[in-house]
Amino acid sequence: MTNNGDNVIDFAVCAGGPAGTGIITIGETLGKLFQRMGWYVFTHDKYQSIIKGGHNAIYTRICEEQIYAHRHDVDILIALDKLSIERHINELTEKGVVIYNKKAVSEYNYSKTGIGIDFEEMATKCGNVKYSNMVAVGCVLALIDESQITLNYLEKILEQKFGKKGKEVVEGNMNAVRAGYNFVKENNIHVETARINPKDQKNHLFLTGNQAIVLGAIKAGVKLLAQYPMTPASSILDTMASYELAKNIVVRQPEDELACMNMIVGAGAAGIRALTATSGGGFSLMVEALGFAAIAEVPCVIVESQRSGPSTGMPTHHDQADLRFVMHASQGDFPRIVITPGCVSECFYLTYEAFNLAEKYQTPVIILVDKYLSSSFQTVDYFKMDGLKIDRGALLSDEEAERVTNYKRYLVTESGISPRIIPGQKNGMHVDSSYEHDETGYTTEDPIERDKQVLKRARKLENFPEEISSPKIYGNPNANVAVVCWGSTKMPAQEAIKILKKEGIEVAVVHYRYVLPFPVNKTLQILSKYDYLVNVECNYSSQFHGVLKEFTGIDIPKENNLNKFNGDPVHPIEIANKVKEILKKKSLTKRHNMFIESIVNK
Amino acid sequence: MATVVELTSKNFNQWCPGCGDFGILTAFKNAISQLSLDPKDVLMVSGIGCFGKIPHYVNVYGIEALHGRALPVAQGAKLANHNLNVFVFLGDGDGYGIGYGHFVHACRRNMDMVAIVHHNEVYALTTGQTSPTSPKGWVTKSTPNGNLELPVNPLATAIVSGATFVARGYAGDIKHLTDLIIAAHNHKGFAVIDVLQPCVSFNPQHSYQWYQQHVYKLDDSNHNKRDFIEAVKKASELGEKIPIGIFYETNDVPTLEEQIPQIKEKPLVKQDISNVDISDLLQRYL
Ligand SMILES: Cc1ncc(C[n+]2csc(CCOP(=O)(O)OP(=O)(O)O)c2C)c(N)n1
Ligand code: SF4
Repeated sequence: MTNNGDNVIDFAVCAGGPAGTGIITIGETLGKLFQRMGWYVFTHDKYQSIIKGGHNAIYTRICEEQIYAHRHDVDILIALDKLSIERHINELTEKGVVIYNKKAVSEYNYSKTGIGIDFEEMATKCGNVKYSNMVAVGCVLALIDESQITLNYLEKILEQKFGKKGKEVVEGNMNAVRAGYNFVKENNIHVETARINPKDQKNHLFLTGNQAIVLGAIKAGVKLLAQYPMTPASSILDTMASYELAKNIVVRQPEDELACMNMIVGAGAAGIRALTATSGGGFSLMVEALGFAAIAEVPCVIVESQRSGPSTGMPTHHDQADLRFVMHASQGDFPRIVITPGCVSECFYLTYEAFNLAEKYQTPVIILVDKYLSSSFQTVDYFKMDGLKIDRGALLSDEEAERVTNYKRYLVTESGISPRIIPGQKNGMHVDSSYEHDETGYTTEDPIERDKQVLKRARKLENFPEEISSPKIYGNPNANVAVVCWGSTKMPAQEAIKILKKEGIEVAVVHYRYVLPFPVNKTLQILSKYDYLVNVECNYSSQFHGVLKEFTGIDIPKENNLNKFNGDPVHPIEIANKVKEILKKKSLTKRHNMFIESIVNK
Repeated sequence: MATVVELTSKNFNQWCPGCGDFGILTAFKNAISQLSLDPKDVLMVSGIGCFGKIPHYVNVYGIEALHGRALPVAQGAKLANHNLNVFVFLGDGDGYGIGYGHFVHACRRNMDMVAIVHHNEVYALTTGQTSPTSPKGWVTKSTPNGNLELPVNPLATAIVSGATFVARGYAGDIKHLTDLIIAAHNHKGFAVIDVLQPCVSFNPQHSYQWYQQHVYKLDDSNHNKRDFIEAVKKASELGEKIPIGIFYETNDVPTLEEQIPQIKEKPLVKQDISNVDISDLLQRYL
């Protein structure tokens, strides 16, 4: 119940326990509950790559005002086992409270207030030991809600969630919640309580990045998802599959990622919008077909959700170390688009946009997300549908195709984009080839034809509009220090703005949603304004910084880089501290000025 | 709908004179013509190898995919538009080596398409290395001291993996092969035709003359193609003589496409995507 200084109620709950005990459901349930009450919620889960045992945790942050990320600390810790206390006790705030499993912790001798409770016994009394997690939810509610109003909201949520399983299950779960609630109340445990009250009904959604990607793809008219399960992308497959009948989408789980990628190339060549999704390991297997799509100029969209590598790495943990990989994967030179959404809303809108761009430019589009964004729930504004328009680029309609004579699939044009006719349409017969080809699609090794086709493909993205790819600025654009980030690091960076503001420090956050084509001019215009730049990314080698330097000559000194690669996302406080450190050290950014002058003076 | 002449493209043919691939090409064009298929509704998907150039030589739609990956590409295209008549062309290296995983899964997937394998027992395009179908002991460029491994048995693999039509043809018997392609096309489900294909440049052991002396037609024996066990046995026959014809056929298995209600009314490619309504889905996230 942190009162964060402006009398804004902002608190966080961490629930920890072995895998298989429904820990994640605690966070999701609390999240949904407060979301329904008009509050803002953000969840962040940490789990191990095992099905039973080990340690899982979910952090649920709840706030009266818009929030963008998790916090590094928590106010309430629910510990279903001893390990959870040991792992998280240091994250507890000064007046934080632990609700622990009496059975697992025989002697409670920690510095923070603790309430022991036998979750399992209580759950069993309500009908099923599986309801333990709902007992825990009840305990949390008792600590923050005196009026029991939360219970009314929760009842509805449980009805929706378990209604299909029968009344008994709904009631059992609800009784477990009440048992936990009453236990904490009856024991008269006094903790500093945040007054939770229902706010005005807001038009908000509560969902994860992966769910938003699925919705964006469906809105964009995706017709085929071919995906092989791999954390943290698997929930894209599961979610899409659950909608396949309602939305007439075919979802296939082929034998491997080679098949997935080749399947969507075939599907794209035959004229539908097709998607695949994976993590770095699966993307490794897709690499050859990525180049195939590029040379055959077949539109396709690939989601790569990063996890800690290399190799199998830490399968369920966060990382941002595949940027260079997706930018350069596959042999040969070819144009591609790399999109790096920064939050759940951007997952929706940019996935939608990705399908339009893939067709417009007839080239692969990679959406690069990560564990943190893929699996975190966030409260976001209801998605706006007006302004979304399907653009199928140069794909000819049946009527248009009928009027075509002497068709050339790879016609050399000024824009580099050639009219597309697909199998089944008249007058368009050609071969989509993985070989270099002439304008008709026939294989060639002629140096002149080769030049024509390489240049034609390159031209497609040469004048990519920077209004689309430009980085976005958050915080105070006129500050003298800017945090540079890409992908999901925008979320903690936006929180860092708030932390610094409370200390009287103004900062800008410059966030990249597109890394390819790199927005060179916009970058030079924007970044040249700041005395101090701080680069933040979740990898060891500052991959994005390397890209920035390569394209613009902007050279952010090593000490101005915040790199994290231990499997956790960056905490907002870490970004804030880094900014303060750099301001104190006055560590300036080097600029290789020939770039900047040429652009800024334009 | 199109004569063999109309089906013949103007593209320069790059195969060696006398290559068995010519026989397969001719039989294929004959079959398309005899089946009266509209060329715009025919899609040829090939992998990479000498054989892989075949789509360039026919006036229909084509995809020349990656080495070993033609099957998943063809499956994606077929899912997008199941009204297309899809023919997949594989090599023994392409289909039974690097792409064998896809081959097995294509069999159990049972999509309605025909896979024709140009089986020359050698990696020809890379100038004569051993193949997964090269007999044990064969000397090739990459096995100068003799091949140490046993060859795969693709037909038996296809039958036990769930293919619903499994046949072997011979590139030197164009009439027989044409009939096989027609039968395979008329079959509903995944049809495999393994075609013995002489490679005049890199497989001197098995020339036209050799094949002529060794192949015999299953039709002339009393083979029962409806009997699964008999088919597996026949496919495993490693005698002096090589049977050609239909080893196995069943009509009892539904195709993948038939089991997908989403495409019952219209192929995916014909479905309107101009303004998909997702408000019902968003409801769940309120
Ligand atoms: C991934 C990959 N590995 C290797 C090659 C090189 N390569 C091209 S064709 C071929 C073998 C061709 O043999 P086969 O499939 O039997 O066809 P053939 O040339 O005999 O008709 C190989 C290894 C390639 N193109 N791609
Ligand atoms: S090398 Fe063999 S397979 Fe290739 S074209 Fe020549 S004869 Fe045909």
